[in-house]
Amino acid sequence: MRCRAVRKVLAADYCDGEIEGAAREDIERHLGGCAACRAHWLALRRAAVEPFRDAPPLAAPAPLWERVRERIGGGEAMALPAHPVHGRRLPFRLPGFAYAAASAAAAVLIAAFLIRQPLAARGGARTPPVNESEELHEYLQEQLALLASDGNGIPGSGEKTNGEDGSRPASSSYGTIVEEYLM
Amino acid sequence: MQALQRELILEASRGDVAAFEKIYRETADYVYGLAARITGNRADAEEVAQDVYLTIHRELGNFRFEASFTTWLYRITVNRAISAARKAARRRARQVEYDEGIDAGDRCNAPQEAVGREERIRSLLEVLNPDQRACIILREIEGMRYAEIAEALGVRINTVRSRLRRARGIIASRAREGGETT
Repeated sequence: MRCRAVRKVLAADYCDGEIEGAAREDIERHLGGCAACRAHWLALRRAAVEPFRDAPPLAAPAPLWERVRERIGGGEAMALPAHPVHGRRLPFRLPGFAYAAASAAAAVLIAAFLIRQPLAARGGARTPPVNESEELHEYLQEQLALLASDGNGIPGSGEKTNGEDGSRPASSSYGTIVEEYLM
Repeated sequence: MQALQRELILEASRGDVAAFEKIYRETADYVYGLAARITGNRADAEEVAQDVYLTIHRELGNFRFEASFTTWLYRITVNRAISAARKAARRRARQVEYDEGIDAGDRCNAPQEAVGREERIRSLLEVLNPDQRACIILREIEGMRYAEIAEALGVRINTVRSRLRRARGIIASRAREGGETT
């Protein structure tokens, strides 16, 4: 039982110098007095420890770096600036403010385009300003008043009939014609 | 393997190819050697080494120096190599009925004196599983302590201890069998 426990320690901690002091001395004392364990230890060292001690270094094959470099997208392209430009590189360098100015100009153009879109949706007709609209209304009222008068510029009489049959009010008739003409 | 300078690692993480190449030159033999011994196959080792450097290149920006770069490199290499060795073992298991006869014939005819030290190491490692192999290599060839091996493999120290014990037991047992039959 004692030999079995010692052999477990021999195959790991003792062999690899992982135990020191009293524990190591205890093992060595046992080896000094037990021929079977001493033989076991020598055989173990010869078969499973010593062959590895002078292992020759293995050299990586020369083309390996070229393959790695190729895969990482090597060459000069890897020497990136502190603030890399993603995607296709420009054939020239621009100062930093140029990017900001270009962005602002693009924003203005997009805004102008979006503002004009509703006009285009109405067939490109321009909405008259408020003042123009009021002037037009006044003009129409004046024209309607003149047409509704008896021809001498007196308003009011045309409200009655527009002709001999008196079938419809003159204001609505003339108003419609004037509107169609002006609009 | 010597510890790499922090500045060199930082430069490489910023995309400096020259710095990355320097890291490669410093570590490639180690990475390839470790992979070759764990996989037992040069072609697989090259694949593993390439994969290791692509991983490092991709992840270098996330490296925070909480562990040493070398330990990180050990861990990536060993994990990739163990994975490749397992795949290779499954591949061989599928092919064994075709290759067995030729393989046995080659071994019988190979002159013992022509087997170099590396071949001897390869033949000893061949009888171990990839986990045991990695432990033996890190301990016997790289000279790492148990704590370092445990960190590199991401396992407990007792696991390292038991894998080493088991691995040496298997190698010694094969040696005894070989001695008895010859």
